[in-house]
Amino acid sequence: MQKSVEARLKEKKIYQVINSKCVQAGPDLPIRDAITFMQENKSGYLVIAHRKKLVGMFTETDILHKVLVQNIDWTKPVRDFINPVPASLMLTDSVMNAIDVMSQKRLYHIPLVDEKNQLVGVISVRTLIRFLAEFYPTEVYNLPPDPAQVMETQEGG
Amino acid sequence: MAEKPGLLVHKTVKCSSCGVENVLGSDSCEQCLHSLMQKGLPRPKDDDRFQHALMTAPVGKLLTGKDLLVCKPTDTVLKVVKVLQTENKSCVLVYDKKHLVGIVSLRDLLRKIAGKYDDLSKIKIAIAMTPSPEFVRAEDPIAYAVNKMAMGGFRHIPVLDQDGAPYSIISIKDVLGYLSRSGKPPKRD
Repeated sequence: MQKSVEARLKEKKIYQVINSKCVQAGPDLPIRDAITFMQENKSGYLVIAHRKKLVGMFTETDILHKVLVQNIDWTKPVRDFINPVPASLMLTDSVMNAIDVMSQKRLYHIPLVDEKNQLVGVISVRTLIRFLAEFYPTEVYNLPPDPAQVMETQEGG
Repeated sequence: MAEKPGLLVHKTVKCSSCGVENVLGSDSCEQCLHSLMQKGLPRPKDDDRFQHALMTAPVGKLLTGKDLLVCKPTDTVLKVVKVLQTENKSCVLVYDKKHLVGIVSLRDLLRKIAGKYDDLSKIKIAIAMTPSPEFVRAEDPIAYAVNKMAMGGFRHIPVLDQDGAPYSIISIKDVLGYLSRSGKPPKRD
């Protein structure tokens, strides 16, 4: 018998779903370079780590509140703009854990650490949502753009 | 007296895929050939709260009704950024003459604006927005919104009513929050 989605989410470990991408930088990187780096990597976050030790996260929200509109010195190090890490998870935590933490703390990205508290990766909300989307049957996937739409001619006719 | 089958032609069943009225008891839809033998969309098992939450609950369940920002394409980036800062929001819809023309999220600001312009009061928001975004309706299943997010890689989807007027914006966090709550044993929807 097929297991419930809930059970499968609790069983599935984070390391089974993440991709290897983890955009990280040192705390002394100038803010201008940090933003260019994020733009180049098309990422909405930057994990700040010093010798694999997690220092903080630099996110889109920080950019909104601390960078845009303010007259900042673009050579200042990124460490002046970051937030201390609000949460981190281990690779062996379940996907359900990640969903809970993300929704409680209202985060888009959670850094992942190993037993020695060293940075090993990051799990993003996109990864989770892609993973969740796999649970639905194709009928739901393939709803027409407008479910109430009436076709004027028979398909192919 | 029981009706004869031949007299039932005036009774119809609506195809859930294309909406055409079919003779009651047809195996498949006359027009689009979708099966009419299933009862509605595929149903989750009764004991699976999680899947219930995803597949049967409508997007309307996630709406709070208070978080909606709308701007014009001619508004300046400065103005929008200031509003986002004070409201602590991450997304704004762009409407032009009652039509949804775009959406601006923090990601757009990061990728197209941050560090690239000196004077944000001279830039129009139309430069930063993602044009013609995907949207959903309040009665669509949550699964439908999740699928759009997953396919398009976005974190916000506007919810519109039938006339195209904005209802709300749902974010991926709303979805995760809802799933996280509905996964908890004591509470049942």
